[in-house]
Amino acid sequence: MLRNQLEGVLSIPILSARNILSMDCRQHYVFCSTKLESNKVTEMQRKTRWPLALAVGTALLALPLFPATADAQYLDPGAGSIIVQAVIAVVIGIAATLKLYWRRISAFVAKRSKQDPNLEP
Amino acid sequence: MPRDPASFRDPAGHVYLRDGKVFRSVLPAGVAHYRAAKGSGFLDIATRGGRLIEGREVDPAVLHDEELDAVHVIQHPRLDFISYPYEWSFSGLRAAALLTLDLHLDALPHGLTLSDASAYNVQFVGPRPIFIDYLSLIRYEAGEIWLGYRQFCEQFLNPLLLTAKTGVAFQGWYRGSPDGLSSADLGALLPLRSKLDPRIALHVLLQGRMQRSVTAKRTSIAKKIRLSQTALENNLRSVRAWVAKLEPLTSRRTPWQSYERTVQYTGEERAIKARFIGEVVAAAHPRTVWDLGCNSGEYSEIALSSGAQTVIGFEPDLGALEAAYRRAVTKRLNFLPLALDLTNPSPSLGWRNQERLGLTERRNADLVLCLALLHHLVLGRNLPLAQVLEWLVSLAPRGVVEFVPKEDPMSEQLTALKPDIAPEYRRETVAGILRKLARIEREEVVTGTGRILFAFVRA
Repeated sequence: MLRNQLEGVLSIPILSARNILSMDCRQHYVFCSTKLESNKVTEMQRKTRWPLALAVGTALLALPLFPATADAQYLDPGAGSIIVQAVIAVVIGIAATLKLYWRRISAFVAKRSKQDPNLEP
Repeated sequence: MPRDPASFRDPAGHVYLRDGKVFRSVLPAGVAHYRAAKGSGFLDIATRGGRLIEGREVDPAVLHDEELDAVHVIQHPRLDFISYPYEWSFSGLRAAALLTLDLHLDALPHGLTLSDASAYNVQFVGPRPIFIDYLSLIRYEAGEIWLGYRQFCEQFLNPLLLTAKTGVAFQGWYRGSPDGLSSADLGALLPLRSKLDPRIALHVLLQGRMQRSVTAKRTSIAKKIRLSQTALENNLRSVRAWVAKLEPLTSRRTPWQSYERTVQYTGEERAIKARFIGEVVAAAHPRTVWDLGCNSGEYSEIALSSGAQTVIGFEPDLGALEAAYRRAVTKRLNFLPLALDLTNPSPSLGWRNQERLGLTERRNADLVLCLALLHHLVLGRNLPLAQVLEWLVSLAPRGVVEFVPKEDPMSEQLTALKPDIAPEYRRETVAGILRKLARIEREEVVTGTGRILFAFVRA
């Protein structure tokens, strides 16, 4: 029983990597199967502030990979904006995944403490 | 039939105005998308929900002289007044932004997406935003990105963020830059604290940085990017949740926000003024009333309850404007308060100076209210009395103007620190000039300090 539950929790990161959020390098296909409920977004943002900040930090650190070049100074048709919305989709995907993960862990812990009162601190 | 001078960007169709009717052509470039939108049933759903303007197909021969290749022609009801995002209140722009996002989110399950996110695709009926561009709704192809994301940021998100994060009004900058505020410019102005917000870091700072230059490599990456429908919906939802919570920075109080509480009227004097305005409006049966310097809309509301069908209010103080917009929404009034300094009304803007019309070109009032405003224009802003009255009478065939004498405490405040620059600003002069321009139908002293209301009818 416990083993099954533990496996359920541990399998999430593997699931996440494969199904919940994946970026196909050739297609740059941002795929996210974790749907956000509109009224829960802010709650999610509150709960995942740190992971979100980390993800954004990583994204900002990646900026020097796209250096501004002086020889191409003309009006951007929106290529930058397209990339940004893909980045945002990834960030939201990560946040939604983390939230799912968090929920499962808390559900698991809650279940455990209900089952065995001795485990409570 | 003249084509709407703002209708030239979209190759899918154009808008024409004739005899007070609005026609939209659907050209070969837009036919497949229009048929998909119509076939999905979403146009009907959105129209019934009051979010999309009504439209019915008419014989394409109507536009035979103008556009021979029009495959369909849609006729729309004509809106009373066209307003622009740089005239909207903060809450108005936010409501328009939410409408655009909601329409997009609701269209996706019907296999449709929005081809753009122009704020000019939204108009207002009272305080209620309505989407007017049928041809923006196009077929959604799986994997497609949010096509109007950049435009949404520049025309909705960035102006709202400017006011929400710095307290600076977005309207002036927006008017000077009618296609919107660029992310790079906004990013340069935001305080450090707001830059730490991950959403601002992504939508504003990262986007601003990415837009600064274009490289072939980046363009080729952008071309290959695909979003799943869920990812697209997640992006729209997360922006929606953010926008819905934006508020103007409250630490910046505006002087007229609490005008109604501090104003120098006794209850009885207020009742006299309300009765006068109510009776003048009731007798005139105006379709549209313009309330100049509407403040929080107290007298706009009286005009509506006295029989006016719609009121457009103009108010330069953004705190009072917010209060007016709230009044219109909560009391469901057909009242649209707009941000405008009447000493510098909106000019004609955009391509050939014809894309967005100036205020004078959009005159449609049957009756104009100019209450507790004349002294601000003449004593406060040094405008010549005769010119102000002439302009007022030119705005509408009827009107009510309130004269606030120099001895009134509000006038005294305006002139306390400067010499008397308007010796002609007297009751007799005002009445004399008005009589030359119009017929004074009625006049009544409303306060103990000598405030007078004049009701005029243009000769």
